[in-house]
Amino acid sequence: MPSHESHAWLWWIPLLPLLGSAIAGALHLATLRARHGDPQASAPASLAPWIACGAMLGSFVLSVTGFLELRELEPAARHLASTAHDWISIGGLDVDLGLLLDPLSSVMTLVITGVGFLIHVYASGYMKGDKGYGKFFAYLNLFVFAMLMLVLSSSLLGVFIGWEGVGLCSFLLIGFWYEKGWPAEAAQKAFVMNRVGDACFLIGSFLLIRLFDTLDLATIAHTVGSTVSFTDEQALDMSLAALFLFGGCCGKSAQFPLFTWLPDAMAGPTPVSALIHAATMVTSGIYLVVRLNPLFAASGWVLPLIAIVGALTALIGGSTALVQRDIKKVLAYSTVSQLGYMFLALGSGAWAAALFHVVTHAFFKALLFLGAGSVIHGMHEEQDMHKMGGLRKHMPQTYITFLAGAAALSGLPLLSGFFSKDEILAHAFANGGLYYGLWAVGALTAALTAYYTWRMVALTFFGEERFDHHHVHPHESPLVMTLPLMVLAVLSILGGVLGLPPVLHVPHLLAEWLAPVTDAGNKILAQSPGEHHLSHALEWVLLGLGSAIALGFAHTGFHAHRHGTAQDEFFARKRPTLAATLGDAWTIDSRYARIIVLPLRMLSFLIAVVVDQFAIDGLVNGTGRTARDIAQHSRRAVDGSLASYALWMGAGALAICALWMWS
Amino acid sequence: MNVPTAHLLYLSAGLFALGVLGFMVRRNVIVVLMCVELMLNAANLAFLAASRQHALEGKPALQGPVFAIFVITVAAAEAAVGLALIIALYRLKQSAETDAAAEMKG
Repeated sequence: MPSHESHAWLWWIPLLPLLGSAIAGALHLATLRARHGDPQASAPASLAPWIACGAMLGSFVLSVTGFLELRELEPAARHLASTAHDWISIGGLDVDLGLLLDPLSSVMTLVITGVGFLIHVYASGYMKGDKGYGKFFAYLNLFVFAMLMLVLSSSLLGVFIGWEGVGLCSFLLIGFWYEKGWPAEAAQKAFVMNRVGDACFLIGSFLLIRLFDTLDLATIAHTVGSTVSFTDEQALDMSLAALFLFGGCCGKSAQFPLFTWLPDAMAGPTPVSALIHAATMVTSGIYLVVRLNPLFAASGWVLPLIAIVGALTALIGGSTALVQRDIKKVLAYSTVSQLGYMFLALGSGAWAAALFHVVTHAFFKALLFLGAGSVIHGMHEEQDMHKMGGLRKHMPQTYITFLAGAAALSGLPLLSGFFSKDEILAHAFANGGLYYGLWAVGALTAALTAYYTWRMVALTFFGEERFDHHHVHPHESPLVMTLPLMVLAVLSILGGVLGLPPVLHVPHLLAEWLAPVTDAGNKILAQSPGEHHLSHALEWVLLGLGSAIALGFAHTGFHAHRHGTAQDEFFARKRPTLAATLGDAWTIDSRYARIIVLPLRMLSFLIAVVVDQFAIDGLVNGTGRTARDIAQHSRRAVDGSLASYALWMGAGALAICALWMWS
Repeated sequence: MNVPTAHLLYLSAGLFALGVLGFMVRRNVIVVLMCVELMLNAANLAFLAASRQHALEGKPALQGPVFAIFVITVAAAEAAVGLALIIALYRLKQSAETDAAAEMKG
């Protein structure tokens, strides 16, 4: 239970970015006004990145302070809470507007503000010269505010506010260059698909209210964790609540079947892809499941379902990334795939491993996206890898840091991704039964990951230069962009120390840190049969197998593509159907277009033409026409002749008299 | 000297009908106004006849004459306004015919 001592300063963690957002937005408006008269006027928006980065830095410092303060406390007492006020109080339901900083939200906050700060710094270089410079930082800071509310809120309703807030900011930032047309469509798609998940989230919340009469996260987790047995009806309700909440996570965290918005979300500026669609927002689903881990642990069949969905998503994402030509699309499908990994971990009950992968993924995927942004920037907005090649000579810093990110993503031994991925696979393996199959899918995906990552590296940085030398002059990005890359590269390389495998006889720092949160769920899982620990020998075998897969396929992928696009063309010629299917993400999106979007459009057309134009418009116009026709005929009575008025008046008086006499 | 009340009421109704008829068929605005006066006085006659009937029956009979005096007062005011309107109409149209003012054509 949260301590009753109030820590009001916690509010400054989310409020600083909100404040920054307001100021940056005001600066943007001031810029618009200044440019209205004189397009060359010095723009106030040039101050916006300072404000935004300053807010992020302040928020990060506060997060570190909170982390240090938590560390001083006993593990069981590690929660700082602050309640602003009693928000909703209806019947038995009380919802407080409050914040809770505990080990889990502390990790998330550190990642959000830390990686977020680096991406803000990078963006101040990347977005320079854009006419929406100030607006961009306003949105970006607003996003960070919403994300921090999501992870810091003490009640599910507060989480929902953040959940919707990040969705809104994601929409705004995907459609940032809406003049181009297709980003606006991608933004709409993301928004609509997220609505499906959000509806599930709400239904899940309502079920939780029915079950527990509260939305307080700590109370729910505590209640489930300390209840010995549930009635059948309660157990069903709990499973349904977990299922619907997971449905919400499927939308936000881009899981099958709702993942198709994420690759399209790449229409946004690259820092947005790095911050929102790789490092933070898409991990909110994982956060939610870890936050309510006792609920999911106690919900029976939902957990294997999560694992299956995760493994399937990992496989779809990984295999689709194999054949993409757009560098950001490769990274997008890779993100889908890695998120699938995280859900595979959650489905295996490996809460800490999932969060470990969230953290390392935030490091290396943000790095890769920012590196890709640097490449795109240097190549004058070219994103097609078939038109790149040989860039390592032109962009040495981007190249070196990108290598670090790629190595971490592909799980090369001793890098951060290696440890987090292998921990997930080991946990899946340890569950046995069905999970052996899921482990195999995970291992296959690891092979795909290594392959497509190094294909991307080879196509981008090696081989002959396939761009038009007359028009494109690749250049290294400025220091303000490469510096965040270097910091993230170091983190990607060293991030693994947070969770070293047990065979090395060193403490798993992250798992120990998260123990107060995850213990309840682990205890519930420990009661069920089937879970057993791996022997050290088997763990070594799995580690070795993981290393061998990563190294082998990284090598294959790199060498198959280092000499240019020949391998891609060969594959497309040899297996055209397979290449087309993979290129289209297993044709899921086109199926949606055929099965859902097309009938929906036809229905809309039907409603627009038949119901609206015919029935409703007919009714409205008919009413008007009838009134006009009546008037057309009755106006003849008003002819200006006093005599006829008098006649009518007399007739009326007579009629009234007659009525009065006969009634 | 023993005129029945019914006869007085017939006279009143006849005068009223005459007024209405004149109001409808005559075009000169002054005559129309006179017809209105005729209708008002027909009503006065009806008031007085009814009051007389009450007096014959020995009931209080003051309301009738009082109402008649009210009607005469209002008729005087109405005549003043009506004549002023007629003068205004004549200035505008150089005519005192009702058709001259018939500007609404359905």
